[in-house]
This record gives sequence, C-alpha cells and structure tokens, in this order.
Amino acid sequence: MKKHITLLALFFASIAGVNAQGIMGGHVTGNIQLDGQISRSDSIIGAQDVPEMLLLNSRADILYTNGNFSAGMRFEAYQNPMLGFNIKYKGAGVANYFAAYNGEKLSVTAGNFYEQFGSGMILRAYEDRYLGLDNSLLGLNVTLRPFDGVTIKALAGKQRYYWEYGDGLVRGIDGEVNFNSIIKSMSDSKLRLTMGAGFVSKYQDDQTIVYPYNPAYKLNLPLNVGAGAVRADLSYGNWGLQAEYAHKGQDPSIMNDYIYREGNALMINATYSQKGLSANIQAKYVDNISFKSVRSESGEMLYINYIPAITKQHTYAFLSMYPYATQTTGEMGLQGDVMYKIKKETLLGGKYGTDIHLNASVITSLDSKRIGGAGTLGYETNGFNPGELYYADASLEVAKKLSSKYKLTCTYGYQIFNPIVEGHPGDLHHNHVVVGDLTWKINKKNVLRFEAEWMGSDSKYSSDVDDKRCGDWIMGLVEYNFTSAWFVSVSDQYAYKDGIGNYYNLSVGYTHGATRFQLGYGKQREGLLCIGGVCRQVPASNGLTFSLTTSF
Amino acid sequence: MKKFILSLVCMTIASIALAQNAQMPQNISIKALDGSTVQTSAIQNDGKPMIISFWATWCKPCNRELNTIKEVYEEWQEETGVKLVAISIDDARSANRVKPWVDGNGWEYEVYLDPNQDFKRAMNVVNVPHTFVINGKGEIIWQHTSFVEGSEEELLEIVKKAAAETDK
Amino acid sequence: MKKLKLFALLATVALSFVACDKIEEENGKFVIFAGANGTWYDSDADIPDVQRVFIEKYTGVRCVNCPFADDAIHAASEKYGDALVVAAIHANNNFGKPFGQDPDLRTPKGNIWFDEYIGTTGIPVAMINRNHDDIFVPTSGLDDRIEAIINQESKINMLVTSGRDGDKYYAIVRLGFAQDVTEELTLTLLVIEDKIYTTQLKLGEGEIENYEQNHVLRDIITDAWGIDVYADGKQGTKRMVRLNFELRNDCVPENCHLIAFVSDKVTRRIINSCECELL
Repeated sequence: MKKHITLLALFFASIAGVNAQGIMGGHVTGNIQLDGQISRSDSIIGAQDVPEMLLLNSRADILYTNGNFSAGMRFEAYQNPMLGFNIKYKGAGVANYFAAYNGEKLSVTAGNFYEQFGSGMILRAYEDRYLGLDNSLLGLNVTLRPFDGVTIKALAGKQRYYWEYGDGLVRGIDGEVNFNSIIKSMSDSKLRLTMGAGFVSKYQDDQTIVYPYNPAYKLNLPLNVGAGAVRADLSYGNWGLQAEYAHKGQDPSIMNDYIYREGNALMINATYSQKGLSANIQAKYVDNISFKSVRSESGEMLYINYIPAITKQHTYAFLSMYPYATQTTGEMGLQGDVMYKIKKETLLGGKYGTDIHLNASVITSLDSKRIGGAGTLGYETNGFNPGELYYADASLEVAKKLSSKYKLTCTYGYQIFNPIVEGHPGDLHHNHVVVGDLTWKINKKNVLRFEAEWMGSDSKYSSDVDDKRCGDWIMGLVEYNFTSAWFVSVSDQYAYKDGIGNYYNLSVGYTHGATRFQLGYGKQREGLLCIGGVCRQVPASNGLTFSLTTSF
Repeated sequence: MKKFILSLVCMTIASIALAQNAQMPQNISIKALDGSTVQTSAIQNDGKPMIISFWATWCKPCNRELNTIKEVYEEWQEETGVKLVAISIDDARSANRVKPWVDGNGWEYEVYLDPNQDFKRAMNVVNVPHTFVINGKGEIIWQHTSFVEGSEEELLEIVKKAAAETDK
Repeated sequence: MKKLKLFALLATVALSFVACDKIEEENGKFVIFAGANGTWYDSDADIPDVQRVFIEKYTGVRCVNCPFADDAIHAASEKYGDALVVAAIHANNNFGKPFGQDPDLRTPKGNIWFDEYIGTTGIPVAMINRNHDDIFVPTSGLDDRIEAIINQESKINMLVTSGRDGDKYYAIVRLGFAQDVTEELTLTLLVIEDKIYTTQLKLGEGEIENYEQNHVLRDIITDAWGIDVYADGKQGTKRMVRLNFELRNDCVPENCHLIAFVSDKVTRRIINSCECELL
C-alpha cells in the first residue's frame, strides 16, 4: 500500500496542476487531522511511559470531484501510533485510494470503498477514525438504480487490515424496493413501505486448525461462508416499524471458538411520534452472528458486519463509564425510549417548556446449553428464554430553559453492569449517577457551562481485579466559551470512596470555520472507548494531547 | 515520510490555488426518514440558500444547535428563504430513533439519514456538528465545525449575504 | 409487475455468483483426519463390531479351472454378503500370462505372496484369513470354512474410509480392540479393481473373450507383508492411521475399492479385514 504514494501524489499533483490552469475544471477538497500525545508514566492510573516521547497520528483525505466523476486518496501516518491504537498501524503511506463515477442510475467505485446493506447486520464496510477502525473494502462496488424506488448493489473486495489486506474475499449483493415509488397508487399513501434483502459470501483458503480434542484431526472448514438478511421499514402516519432478520451459515472462527452453529440475528423497532412526544421500543436477538473475513482474526479489524448495541449512547462521563458492547456470540435485549415536551405556559412547562427524556434497556445472555467446543455445534439455545443479566440501565433527563440566560439539564441514571461482558467474571456493579448541567449565556459573546456529576456504586476497588472504575466518584467541570472561536475547560474526576484515581484535565480550543485546534493537559482514564456498537480498549495516559482538524 | 509531507503541502497549495467554491456533491445515496433511498441531488431549495447541518442524536452540541435555530427558524425563513437540511450520521444503533427524535423535538427541518457516512465523507466532515451554507448555485460558501450558544448569529449573517447575492 | 420480475431475475442471477458451503456433521463433529502419512493416532470414531472373512484366491487367465473357482466364490459372496472380503491374485508364469493386448493382471507384490505360499502348487487355490496350513481348491468346502470364522467373536474391529486431497488419494484405517491382543500386528492395504475384461481360458469353453475379472488385486499400498501397527492392544483401544497413495493410471477409479486387513506379524494369519469404495 505504501509504495503507491509517489505515484498517486504525482497523479493528484498533475490533476491539481491542470486544474489550476482551468483546463479541466472540477474541485479538490479534503480534510486533515493531526493528533498528538506526550505521555508520562503514572503508577496510580496505570499510564505507561512512552519512550519515543511524542506519539502522532495524522491523516489527510484528498478528494477530487469533477461532475459525476470523483477520485480520492488518503494519507495516513502513525509515528508512532497513539496509545490505544494498534502498533500494526506504525508507518506512513497511502492507506486508501479510489476512483468513482456517481451517475443518476449507476454508481461505480473502484479502489477502496465503504458500503452498508440495510442496517449492516450482514455487511458494513466503514471506518471510525477515533477507534482506529477501517473495514474498507478494496475492490469494486456497483450500485444500480434502474428505476425510481429500486436500488441494487453488488460488490467484491478484500478488507483493509492496518497496512495490508485480509486474505478473505468478500462478495455481496443487495436489493431494495421502495413500494411508494414503484406502485403509482401508493405514491401519496400514508403507508410507507421499503423492503430489502441482501446476501454476502466470504471466501478464505483452507488452513489447518487442529481439532483440540484430538490432534490427529483438523477442522473441516467451510471455505465459503454465506450470510443473508431480509428487512422491512413500514410506517403509517405517526407509527413506524422497522425489522431486520439475518442468518449466517457455518462459520467456525476464533470469535466463536470454532463452533459450527449457524448464526441468527433479529432486530425489531417500533416507534410512535408526534410533535412534542415520541416513543420507541426496540428488541434485539443475537446468536453467534460475528462475521469476519478472516477466521483467525480476534482483534477489532476485518468485521464484515456490524451489530450495534441497543443501549442508549450516553454522553456524560459517569453514565458512559461502563459502556455496553454487543456480545456477538449471543445476547438478547429490550430498549424503550420516551421523549416528551411539556408545553410552554403550563404549570410544569413554565415560560419555555420542559423536555423530559426517559430511557431504559435490559440485555441478557441467551439461555443456552453447551454441547461441545471447537469442531462441534457448540451449544443449543432454549428458544427466546433469557439467560443471565448482562446489562440494564434506566435514565431520566429533564432539560429546562430557566430564562433567556440559563438552561439547566438534570439527569438521573441507574445501571447494573456485569463485568463478564468485558471478559472477566465478577460481581454485578450497581451504579447510581446524578448529573447537573447548567449553561449560562452571559451575553452574545460569553457562555459559561457548569457540569457536576456524582456516581455511587456498590463496587470497591481491589488490586486483584484492578478495575479503576470501581468506587464512588464525583466530578466537576467548568467550560468557558468566548464567541464560537475559543473555549477553555477545566475538569476533575475524583474517587472519594472505595476507589482510586484523580483525573484532572485542562483543555483549550480554538475554532475558525472548519478548522479546529485543541490542546489538553491531564490524565485520561483507561477504559473502553465506544462509538456506535464498537469499543476499543484505551490505555491510561498522563500528559499533553493536541488535535488539529481542518476541512477545505 | 518526506514524500508524505511534500505531497500534503502540494495538495494544500493546489487546493488553495483553486479558490473557487466547490459544489455540493450530487448522486450520493442517503436515506429519507421513511426508509427510502434518495440521492443528494434531491436536496434543493429553488435557487435560495440552504444550511446543511451534520448531526447525531448522541451529540449534545448538535442538538443544542438545532434546538437554538428552531426558535428562530421561522423568522430566518421569512427573511431569507433559507432551508435547513439536517443530515443525521447516526448509525444502526440509533438511526431508528432519528424520526421520533425529530418529531419529539418539534423540528421543522428536512432530515435525512447518512447511516454509513458516505455523504459525510464526500463533504469532508470530520466531527459533528459541522454546518455548511450552500448558495443558490449549489456552491459551498461557508462551513463551520462545533457549536456554542450565540454562534447562530454568525450563521444568519452568512445566510443573509447568500440570499442577497441570489436576489441580485 | 414487469419491473419486479426483472428485479427478481437480476437478483437470482447475481445470487448464483455468491456461495456458501455446508459441512456435514459426523459423530457430532465437523472434523477431518489430518494425521501424517503412516503415523498412528488414537481414534474416537465408532467402529462396527463385525468379524469378516478374507479370501485370497490365486488365479490366472490361462488357468482353465479358475472360472469354476470364480463361480463358487461368487455364490459365497451372494450368501454371506459384506462379511466376505475377496481378493483375486493373478499369478504364475504360465497360467497368468496375458493374451495378446490384454493387460497383465499380475503384480510384483502379488507375486511375493504367490511365491511364499503357493509356488509350484497348481491354481486355482485359496486361503481363508491366510491360513497357510489349509490351502484348498475353492470350488467346494467354502461354506464350512467361512462359517467357522464369522461365528467367532471379533478380536479387532476394523473400518476403512477413503478420501481425496487434490489428485492424491488417501485411506484412513481404524482399529478397535474388542479384546486384549498381545501379538505384534501388521496392517496391509490393497487396491482391488472389478470389471476388467480379458480373455480367459475355461475348461469346455476354450478361450472366452471379454471375461469379467472381479476382485483383481491391482496394488498393495503398504509393504507386501504390511506395516507395523502401533497400539498397546488393550481392550477398548482405538487407533487409526492415514495412508496416502497414488492410483495406478491404468485403473478405473469408479471400479476400484480398498481392502485393509490386520494380521499377526509373526504367523501372518489375518485377524480381521474390511473394505470400502474408492471415493
């Protein structure tokens, strides 16, 4: 991948050169991101010393567009990768390049591309730069829109694996029909219906994986593994229903301990909404659905599909201290969410109205019985019966504009967390969290924000388990914004009972247009960084961090 | 590494040299709230300016921005004819919650989903909130990342300018 | 509707390009034997408890009495079914010599057996389970000899299966010790081909063209006297071995099958035998 750098730079430079003379037309746009870190050791929070002093991740996307044609490339440099990023990223070069035609009826991309079928249950090639995740496929992606309301996608490629590509070949096809577009009498109907179906197959050469119970045998591996999904999105007026079911063939891999059980996943979501009131309820069932293009890859890369967590993605620090990550080997859960706006000029609504947001979720394992290990069917499930509790949480958020200057948000959350979901069995953690968040708009140019958080937990820190989240915590944060350009924030998280650690942080930021620079000094807690349904372990750090992003 | 820096510099210079405004990309597939697939070419405002705001349900500043503009949106529309198009980058985890979220918040914006972030990538959005102003000719004339209370004023100024240009 | 049909057609065509494999379960497991060639391993597969009878019949295309032995053995096969395992060894300088363009059905390793036990004795002759104290003309007396053996309790049960890795064949032979066995043992693996048509002399009919030769020994994969079995011989022990081989290129794979037998290393008496199709 790295060797293409000169070639492509030349290619783009020539386009840019010709372009500047106005012969070809078209535009070059892009974005640049630079993240750096200087970390010193800290034995209490567990931060490691960094021998190379400065760690730097940088990337630049360059995109050339001319009418329906576009071409792009991405430089990435990790010298060396920041803490928490896989060391295999070390190096610099062209990580990504493509040429694409996006017409009205036909789109073709050659090179690296991202794609998603339905909600991604059988295929999602995506990237998350903050997680150091890039599942882009190198190959060919074709989308056909033969007539209004019908979309057909077909693709084939290999997945990015740091600076290389995984051995597995991924092929897929997906079709989607919007009935309101193709059936004339339905075009103005209150009933909206879209249905789709997809199929993905991966191929990987045979390899010897010894049958652990008798080394004279090896696993009889399926070289082609298929997965299919059907989905529907139905709405009628204020009501909505989305459902998707996926099935995967035999796929023994390190992720499921090389068992031959077929995989299933089902997600159903029902919503009701009107102005000022909305509710949704979501159910999820996941059984052995981990799908990677290389069977021996256990890390965060080479996922073909994406099964999100259905728990609410909290943003306050203590509410998100124990994030829940989907257990692709098997889980089931329910989630409910209600938003209600109390009208202005009522007793509870006051002058500006009040927003109430209620959310609850519960996730359990499947009730299953083990049959055997690698090389067998693995386990049997007992229908839709739930197993042990993995995670449960409930939160209530009340947001109220007190006057033209003050806005207050109060949140209470309760959660039960089973550490088995992070791979180490232990007692359940029961946590209460209270958050107060006050914004004070002093005048047009000066805005202050205060945040106070408290977490009470029945967990106690012990050096055996070394979970630095245990114990009771308090946190304070003050943020000052001067116009939209400058901000300064100071925060501290402190374990005042049964825990260890004191995480202070000072940040300064400057934003101008699409350029943002941020500098931080302080301690970063080790833990899971979760975005969407995917999480990455981030080690503790202590020192200076800076970040520059710009788009042009 | 030297080559990398060299190329970067090259690119930047080249792009600055092309100081003309880029067009908003057409024919990128996004999703309407009813689940159907549409092309970004469907995002139009009859030659009047548009605000395109990338947001997510889990993004606090994004929600503050859209809620703040909500209070003044009617005035802005009357004054400039502007239309705000909110592009949610929520993925499968929360994409199903976008429609209830929009209704629950009482937003009158045109809202689309960009679940695999194809439009986000084409627009070079790194973080949300990221807001663009598109003029009547479909050109990107202004962009800004992050939101604090008060910065909607600056946005309005830009929109007014764009609207004035269109009227000429 | 036309649009929908087109869509369905497109989808079907596209689906045919993507595939998924289904691995069949065997004994609750999805595994294939991957032992090194000729190395003995413990086995955990089920091995049927059957005592079979191995008949080695020495014959020749110019032997006028041999077709009568063929008929007798064919009748016994009909009667005893799978319990009878038959190998026809074409040998003898005079009686085994092929006619005209016919293939030579004699084999070097078959000749070793012939020289050891038959030599100047006339053919057709046969041994049952290599009882060289009882070399007999197999036109009569078969049933008594067969029944004396199949009514015994099996000491060692056997199972042979075959497979293919690219253009190479392999056999997997499993032994299950139903009783304690203290003797040293050897295992022998044969390739047998049916439906070879040659000219055959027959008393009273002269030269028969296109005579169907069955059970013809074509090759011995192991040494003529077998390879050593590594097993402690305790009751309940199960052992297996993989043997790779190339098929002679004048053999028709569809007409071939394998015979494996286990014998006493010293006396060379055969304890049990089994056969399987060539996959």
